[in-house]
Amino acid sequence: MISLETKITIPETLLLQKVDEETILLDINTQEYFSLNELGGIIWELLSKNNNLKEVKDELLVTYDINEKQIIDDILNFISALIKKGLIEIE
Amino acid sequence: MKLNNITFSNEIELIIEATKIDKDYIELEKNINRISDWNKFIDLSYTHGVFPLVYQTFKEFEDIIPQDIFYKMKSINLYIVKQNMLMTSELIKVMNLLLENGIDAISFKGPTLSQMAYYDITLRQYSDLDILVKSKNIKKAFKILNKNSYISKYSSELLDNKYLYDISKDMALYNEKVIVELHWNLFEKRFFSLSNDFNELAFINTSSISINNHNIKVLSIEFYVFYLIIHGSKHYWERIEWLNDIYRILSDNTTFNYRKLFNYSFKLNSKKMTATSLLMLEKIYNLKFESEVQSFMKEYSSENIIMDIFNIWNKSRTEKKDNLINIDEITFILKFQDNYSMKIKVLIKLLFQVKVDDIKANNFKYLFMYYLTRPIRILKSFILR
Repeated sequence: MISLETKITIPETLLLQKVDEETILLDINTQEYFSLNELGGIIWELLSKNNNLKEVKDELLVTYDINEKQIIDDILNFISALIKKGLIEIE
Repeated sequence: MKLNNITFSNEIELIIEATKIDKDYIELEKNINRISDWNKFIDLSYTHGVFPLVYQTFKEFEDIIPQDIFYKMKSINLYIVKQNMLMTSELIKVMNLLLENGIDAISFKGPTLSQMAYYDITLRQYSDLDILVKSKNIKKAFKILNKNSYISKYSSELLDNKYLYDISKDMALYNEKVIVELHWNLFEKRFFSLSNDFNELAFINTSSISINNHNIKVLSIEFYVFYLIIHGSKHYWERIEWLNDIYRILSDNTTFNYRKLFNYSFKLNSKKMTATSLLMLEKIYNLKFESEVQSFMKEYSSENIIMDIFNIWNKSRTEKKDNLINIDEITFILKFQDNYSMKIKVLIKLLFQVKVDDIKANNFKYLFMYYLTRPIRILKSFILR
């Protein structure tokens, strides 16, 4: 079960590139592309600096005018999707 | 001075301005409004290898660009980004593979140059990966790539022919997505009066660059710029991209050692190429050089060559012809040689050049046999066509 306490790791086998409003990820091993929307890109950027999901949430709350529950849902859904695709690992 | 009177076509002027570090936004807007054939302009900036840079600049002028054109540019850029990411990931894999097998390899052009010049693997156009290994390791490297799903039109046995190393510089291998050019030399010997020292210099003048936390061996900055100058000159600077790469590297490196660059050019008979290229950079990008560089440019550069190159840029570009002998290429290469004895030497080498296919077709015991039979082979190819 994923929660804000879950610690995650971004593997070095991912290549990330921001293009316009999209963020493109390439898995070096499978050579599969993934596209993140704007919010996904922002969460990913915060994650790469700090793998603490709670702090990611706090930072998003400061920057964006969205309610806390919505942000938590967005983060957890996003993280679940990334884990499913094998793009991040749980520590 | 003739060069001060040169005028570029609106499209070329726009491409140059859009790829500068400090841009003149008023001039850019004026020139964007003057574009009459957008598709032609997009093709031109793509052919000059600077599409990603032009697109980055044009994003700031979205309001004055026709919407359909802007979307077209956006999708071309996205394609380049994805392609470059794929090639970068492949480069990391191949370099690791070679390293794990004890092969010293240097990456040049492609993603590492993009990272070095623009700090971004997506701001340059490239279509293959260039990797330099020592001649003694080439067959081993070839076989390793073979084992890892790369194929070539030639077999590894061809690499046993010692003449191959004199007449060619690389062998291409490819998988379904990427082409890797495995080099044992940075240049074919026939193009310049370069000595073998050139390759040796490459391996003792290295540095490294980090992409996605992977360190990749590259040429040292001065030697890299020197290589880029020779490479651009060899192709008579047909792409603005090549000049822009050097402009970005030099603009960002205040400690660049020009004396080292001059030494390479003295040692490897390429003063005219080096001085002329620096003069081009000064004229196009307003790069400011110190007096020592100014004197070097004054002594060895050729304004006529620059005029020729600018005139080619101004003409609408045509497809490269697959001629048996490319007269334009030979003319330019000869113009760039430092003196008449070198011109003659290079001309002979160019006229009697032996191709890899000749080596593949005939297993002569002596190299001169290939040269002797060259006219017959040219005639045969001509008749077959």
